[in-house]
Amino acid sequence: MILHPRRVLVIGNANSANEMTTQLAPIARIHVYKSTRLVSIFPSSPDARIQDIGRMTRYSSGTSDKIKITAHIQDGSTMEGIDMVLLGTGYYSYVPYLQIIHPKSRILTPLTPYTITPSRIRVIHLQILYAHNLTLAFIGTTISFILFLLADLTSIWIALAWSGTIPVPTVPEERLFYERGRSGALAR
Amino acid sequence: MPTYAGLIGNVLLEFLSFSEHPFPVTPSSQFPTFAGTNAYLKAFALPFIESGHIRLRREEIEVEEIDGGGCVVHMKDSNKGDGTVLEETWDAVVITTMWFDAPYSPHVPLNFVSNNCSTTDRVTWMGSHEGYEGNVLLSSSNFTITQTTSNT
Repeated sequence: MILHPRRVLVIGNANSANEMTTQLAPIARIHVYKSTRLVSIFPSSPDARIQDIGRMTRYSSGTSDKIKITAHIQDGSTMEGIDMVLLGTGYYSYVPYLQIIHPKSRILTPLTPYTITPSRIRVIHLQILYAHNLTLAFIGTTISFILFLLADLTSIWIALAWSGTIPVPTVPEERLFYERGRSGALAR
Repeated sequence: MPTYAGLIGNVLLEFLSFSEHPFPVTPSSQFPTFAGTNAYLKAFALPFIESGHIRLRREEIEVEEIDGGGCVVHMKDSNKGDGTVLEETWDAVVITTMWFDAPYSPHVPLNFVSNNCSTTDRVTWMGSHEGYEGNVLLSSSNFTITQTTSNT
């Protein structure tokens, strides 16, 4: 299918969104609009035709042309006549097949429902071991440029922890010390 | 298969290596091709496949924590063609599947009327609708509109 959108809004500020804006910019008639929330650590190619419009608050149908989209921006302004919105906003940290025993109710329950904000594997020691059951571990909970190296490093850490070579706090409260600090930093 | 057969990654080869398994560096490029990455991973995994430590064509259906440690794992075995579901008990489980197949939708209201989209623009969303109920989501790849219509 070939489309000829005239006004394109890209949401996001990481690899996917930056790649889309980079590829669209040379063929854009005027601008490619980009909506971002945070300063990005991901590489992007500066281009005068890429215009960051800031954070979105909502979308609605166009007032005159219902097939077009109106974007409502946090500063109170609106952008009308958008032909296409591209979401480059990543993925949920989601393990649908995993059921853990809830620490209080003792009932099997998902560890990663969609309602977790920000999306993450939670209740976890150093982003690797499930705090309430050390026989459950995760590799790849963080997004990284060097995913092979990080997976390798995490694997070695798990082997050392499970073999007793390196210590792991003995109670869940202590294992969650790092996560609490990280969540607090994110909240700030 | 990747979206693009000619895909080239943006991570330097020296950062794509597992311990004691250096990624082959080609004179022509500092960055990995899809074919090169595929060949590297296959070469790395082959001894583990041959030894039985890696078993292919098995899909985890459920992993349930056991009180006191370990997990009960239900997995579909596609090797026999009948999709037999196996149940195994493991002393420990490492999960490595995250961030890959559940697209994140920003919590931004989408008060969008979709009924005027032409049928040629419509592609049925094949993934889970969980978390997207009540919204119409426009996302895209290569200018192809993908659309959920769970509330239209």
